[in-house]
Amino acid sequence: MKRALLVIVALALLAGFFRLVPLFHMVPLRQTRQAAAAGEFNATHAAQTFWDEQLLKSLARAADAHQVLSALATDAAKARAQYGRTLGISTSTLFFLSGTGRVVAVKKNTVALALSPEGETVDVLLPTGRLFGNTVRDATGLLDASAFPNSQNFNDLSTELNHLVENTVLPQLRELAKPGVVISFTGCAELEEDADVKPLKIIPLAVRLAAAP
Amino acid sequence: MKKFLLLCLVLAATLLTVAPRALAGDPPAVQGKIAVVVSTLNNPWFVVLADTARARAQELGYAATVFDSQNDTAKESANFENIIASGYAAIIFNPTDANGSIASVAKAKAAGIPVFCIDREINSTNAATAQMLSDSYSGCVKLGEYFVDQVGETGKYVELLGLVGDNNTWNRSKGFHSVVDSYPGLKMVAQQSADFDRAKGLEVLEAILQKNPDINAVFCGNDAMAMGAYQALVAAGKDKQVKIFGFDGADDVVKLIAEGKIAATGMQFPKKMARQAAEFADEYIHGKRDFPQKIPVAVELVTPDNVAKYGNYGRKP
Repeated sequence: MKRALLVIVALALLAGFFRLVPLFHMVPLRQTRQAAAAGEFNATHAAQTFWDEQLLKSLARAADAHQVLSALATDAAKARAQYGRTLGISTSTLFFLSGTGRVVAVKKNTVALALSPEGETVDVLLPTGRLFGNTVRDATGLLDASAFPNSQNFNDLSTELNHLVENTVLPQLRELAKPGVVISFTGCAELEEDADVKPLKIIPLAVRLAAAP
Repeated sequence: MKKFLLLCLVLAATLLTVAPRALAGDPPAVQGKIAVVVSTLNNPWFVVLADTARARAQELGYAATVFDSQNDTAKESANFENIIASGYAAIIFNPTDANGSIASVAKAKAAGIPVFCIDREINSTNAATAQMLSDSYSGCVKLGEYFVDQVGETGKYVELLGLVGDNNTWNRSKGFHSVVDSYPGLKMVAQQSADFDRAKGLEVLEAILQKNPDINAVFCGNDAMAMGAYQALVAAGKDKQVKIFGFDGADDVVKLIAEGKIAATGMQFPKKMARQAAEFADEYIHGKRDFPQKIPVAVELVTPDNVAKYGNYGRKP
């Protein structure tokens, strides 16, 4: 009898101890997944923050597109070094440019601009379709790959920045783009080593109507 | 006169002892040891990567040894233990696993040995001295655009993935899908890992073809798998109707692109990366410390239109 009492007391003490210091916790699976997701890189949030807090605030830094195109026509190597940037080991050059041009053609996925007031030559193409690649992420030099331990996050950021342009800038551009209209733009371009300088494809980060026809 | 004769003798002695070495192009005296740790030597692309790093280190005056990790982090870790214990001055490293390889790099760092990652990254920015990495994502964006151009906006395709623990696998897949997924008419009927391995690429595609005999294209995360896929399609008699897309710029694939048997690949420039890493190691040993952590290396699209420009794991001179 005494022994049974002793066992009951010992079990009660053990139960009390494990209540205070449990061996394991029961956690709902959904809660675990949410916690894991919170610790993960949120590319959509990072892209929006970068867009609002850095990219749009840096538009004034963009080089003049007309001046850069003229310099590229005169001495391409010098112009690339002066106005562009090269990422790591690469033969292409990235540019951050702004300018004003008259719409000379509107096609399925592009708006063609002439930068000279009376010119008909297409100097710049502003895309209006799907965007791919890292031009928007890399052209300004505001982001550094070394700050991202996992390059997948850095690349996800690129995809989200492209979506931001597609969803916020391109609808505006499509609405503005009519032959004869003058558009001001700021955007990013990548020029491959042996590519023709004109027309230069510039992904717009901002567009506005400068003058109606 | 005596003085003049003495001077001539000294000059002659100097020429006799120094000139033959210089004329023979002998490497400079060995100034330390550099280890080249590579994920696998069971793939010609990685053999080129390792051999080029070793050759450049030797040109710079180091004794250089290649260690094969056989795609196994345990083997890789043992290689690092051995290297740390053996007094190597620097490590040129092609990791097996973005997360699993961090500990080995950290150990080397703690032992005062700089590590320069090439081709594959580790998910840490404070362990390696620098990481020189192909821009796999951008390269596969270009491949994705070319894929749509060649296959069209409708069709069925298969994707062969590389090692699932390697960031390159996912950067390539994501770059490709960032383009191709915009076309709802392009249906991926199977996506399976073949571990960047030629034999597995053959095996996996053979199995997939049993269930999906009507595919239009195969996108492979590297050229070894593309070669395996090509063999599987030849065996099935479908090599003329199914387009194959690889990634790496391996010589055998570049040759098949020239023959019109493979549609395209992404040239990664392994020799450029390997040489640069050896030069970084040399600069570190001579006192330089300010290296950028990540150095992207651009990938170029190789197609039948421009294949004449490429060969021997890079651009032709």
